[in-house]
Amino acid sequence: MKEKTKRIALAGMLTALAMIFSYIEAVIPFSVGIAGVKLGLANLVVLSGLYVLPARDVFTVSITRILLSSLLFGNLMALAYSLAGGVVSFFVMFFLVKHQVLSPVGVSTAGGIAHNTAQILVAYAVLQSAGIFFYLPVLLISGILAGIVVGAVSRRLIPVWKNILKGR
Amino acid sequence: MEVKKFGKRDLLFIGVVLSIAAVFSVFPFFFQKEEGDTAVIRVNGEVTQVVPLDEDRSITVKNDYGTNVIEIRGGTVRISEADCPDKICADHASISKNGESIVCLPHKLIVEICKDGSLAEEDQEVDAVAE
Repeated sequence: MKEKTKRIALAGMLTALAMIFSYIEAVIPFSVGIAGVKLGLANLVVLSGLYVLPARDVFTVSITRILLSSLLFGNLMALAYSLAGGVVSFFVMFFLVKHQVLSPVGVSTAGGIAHNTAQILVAYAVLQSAGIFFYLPVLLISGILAGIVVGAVSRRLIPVWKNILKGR
Repeated sequence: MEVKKFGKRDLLFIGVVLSIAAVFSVFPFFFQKEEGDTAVIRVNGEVTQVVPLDEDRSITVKNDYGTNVIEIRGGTVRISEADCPDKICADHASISKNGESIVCLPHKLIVEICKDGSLAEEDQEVDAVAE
């Protein structure tokens, strides 16, 4: 029971943290002027969360974060893009973490790429122009760079969160 | 859940992604390198204006989503002003080559460069729909 309370509390904290990251990125975009290139700080929460909490909880955290931050800092169009990217990247990262395929750096890279690819597909569906596929290489490379940063930070963060759950 | 250390598989994965990126970035150069002569403006996927590039002008596109000012100068096209929240389209470099495009996602606007015949088929398609 006490374990469950801790899980709920941690999930709430992670949602708040992810919201803050979304807000920081909305205010100070770490982008280079190309649509879709971003650090994806909120991904840090989802990735690290997958190592310490049940996947169900992390999924709830991710979806809640996307709904709230899109409504607060974006618009409905942004919600569609974020939701597509968030859901696809969650399942990719969940699979990779569960089966221990890659390290956090690899997992977050894969998640970032999945996120960007899903958004390109949504953009293609909305805009009906193949021109956006020219963005793919840029988004792949930026996905790798962001993935390395987020993955490296995540490695430090996971033990800390594990200790919180254990109550130390 | 155990935290796996960075290893060969991570490197291999990143290598594979880099090569895919390389292939995709080289690919367009084989096909679309010539200068275009027409700018095609699309809103919501539908062609709204087809403008030749040989004459300098600026076009204001106003739709339900917002306003963009498209500037044509010396055969190149850029979005000089936009009231979208991110201004990514206005930051985009000028385009002039066949197949290049500037996208304003919030306004569902695309400006695409074409070369004479390359849009002919799509134009007919649009006409067919219009009928």
